[in-house]
Amino acid sequence: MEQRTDEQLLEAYRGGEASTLEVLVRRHHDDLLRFLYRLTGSRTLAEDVFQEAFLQVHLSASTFDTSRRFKPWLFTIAANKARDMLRKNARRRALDLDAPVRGSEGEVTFVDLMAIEGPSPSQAMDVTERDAKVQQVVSELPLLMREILLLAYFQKMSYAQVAEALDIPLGTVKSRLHSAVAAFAKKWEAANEVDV
Amino acid sequence: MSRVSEPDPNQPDEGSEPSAHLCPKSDAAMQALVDARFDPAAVPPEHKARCMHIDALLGPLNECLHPKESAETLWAKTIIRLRGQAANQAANQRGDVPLAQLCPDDDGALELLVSEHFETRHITQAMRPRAERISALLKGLDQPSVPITDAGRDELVSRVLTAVQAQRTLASSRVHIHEASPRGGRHLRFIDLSSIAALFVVGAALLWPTVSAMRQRAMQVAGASRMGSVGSAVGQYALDHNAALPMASASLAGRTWWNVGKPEESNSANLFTLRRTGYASLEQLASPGNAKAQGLALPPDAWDWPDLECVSYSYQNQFATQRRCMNDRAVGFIILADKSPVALRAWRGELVVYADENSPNFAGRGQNVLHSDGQVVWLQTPSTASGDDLWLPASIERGIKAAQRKGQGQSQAQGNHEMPCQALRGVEQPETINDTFLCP
Repeated sequence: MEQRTDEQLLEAYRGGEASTLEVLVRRHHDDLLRFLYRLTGSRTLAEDVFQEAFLQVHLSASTFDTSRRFKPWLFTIAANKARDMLRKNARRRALDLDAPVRGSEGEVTFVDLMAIEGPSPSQAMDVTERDAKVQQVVSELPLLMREILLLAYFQKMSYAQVAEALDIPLGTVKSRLHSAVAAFAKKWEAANEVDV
Repeated sequence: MSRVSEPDPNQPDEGSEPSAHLCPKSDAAMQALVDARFDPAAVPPEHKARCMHIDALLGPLNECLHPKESAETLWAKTIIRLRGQAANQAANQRGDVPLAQLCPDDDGALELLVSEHFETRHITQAMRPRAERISALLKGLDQPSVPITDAGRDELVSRVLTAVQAQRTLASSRVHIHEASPRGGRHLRFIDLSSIAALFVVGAALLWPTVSAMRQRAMQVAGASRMGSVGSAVGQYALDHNAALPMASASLAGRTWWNVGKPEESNSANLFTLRRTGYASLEQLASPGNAKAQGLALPPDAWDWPDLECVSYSYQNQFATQRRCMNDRAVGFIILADKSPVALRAWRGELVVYADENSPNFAGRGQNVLHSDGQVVWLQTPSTASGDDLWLPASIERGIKAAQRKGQGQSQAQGNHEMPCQALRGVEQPETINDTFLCP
């Protein structure tokens, strides 16, 4: 089994050891595909973006700073590719993709997670049903919130890392991530209320 | 070892612009509160009211502090908390707070969770239940039932490697062509060269109309693509600014909006806000059909284009008392189009309007138009589906229609599309919120 780190593998790839790319692709296959499936809501689209992301890794390998971590770089490339592809394929209105979450009365809704009722997504529930519900709720989030939520959560990135990856101010990352969690909680509760 | 001495990922980097500041009075009050070791009763009277307020803001912080935490920890967390509070307050004042927010306790818990890389075991007892609740909520993201099989994995890996290989082959073939051509070995005679030249001339003559149409089409598509990217930038800006369209100044009625270069007056400065605030580059805001905009270099702190001819697009006139925003229920209203020929003529002092004149960006063949839903549409006339003229406010449109009715017979007989009308003076504004009126 390959013992080298991602960064060492990429370094070797840059040095002409072509087989190391396959190791990287296999190593990140499951995580990245899940992340992209959550982000795009489509297996086919997720696989297309996956391919595009690694093609970009190949093209940009020479610019990668190996003193940094490979995985956040890969996920950021994938998120950017997914965003481009979603916009290109957009059948939905741009406003739906980018709009902030709004209450019907224009009032700020404060979400107290301790007061949220119903099962949490991690609790026992039919797996297929739960998965479909989670995907539905995630898909209803504006793209920018979805991206930040998934990047921060899947990559366990700090605010500063997300800010750097997406090239947006740290304060914006924080406010969007917190809003994304609030919106996710609220929509999750609503999705479960409908079923009751 | 105290965690405080480590670089905190939640604090803005040294040298970076903080997202919000305390006002000078609050800053002084904060200093006084620290000097008084967070006892509001012990601060000088002039700071007392503000210190009480700060103390109230910090209340929830005490609940999540571990009893053994040092004064340095308290100080660091206080600063983080205050910065957060100030950022929220500033965001509230800007009106760009999304309307679903976590309550302050969950807000704090999520912040700790992110700083602990979503590991709840390092979080203090007081905050752990909330952090665990958030973690449980987000756990669902972990478990998409994307069926991953060995065969599926092999297939995708193979797809990726094939694509990379194809890319490599393509790149190397480019290199080979480049290397092979200058050293062909065989010398060409004059007769060969003249035959080839003749072939080129005949071929070019035959292909010219096709090539020219293809070039025009390519330019139009490139223009649409660039305008689409401006649409994304507008969407992003609106998201961060409570659905507002880009604005540079108060854009008060009566200002001469074609005074490009005077940001307090011009409408173009409103669009230029996208570049000034980093949402779009100067290249994105340059239509491929506007030669004067290509390769333009402006300082990063510029507020507007230097003159009207450098402006590629006409943006919805923002000088009305009521302005549209991106959460307007009207589906896909028009935000932007290629450069207005009407405003350009009026600015040059030509007192005529040519009916149905298209943008000069594409030599009068038509114009790309950006809608608020992100769609870019190519229009061969400057009229919307409802008959609204892109380049004129409703009041002038009515004048033109009246003139058209009056002189219909005469104009048709002369085949003349030049309309005598009240020319733009650069101070007009949309008549109603629904009136599309695009200008530089």
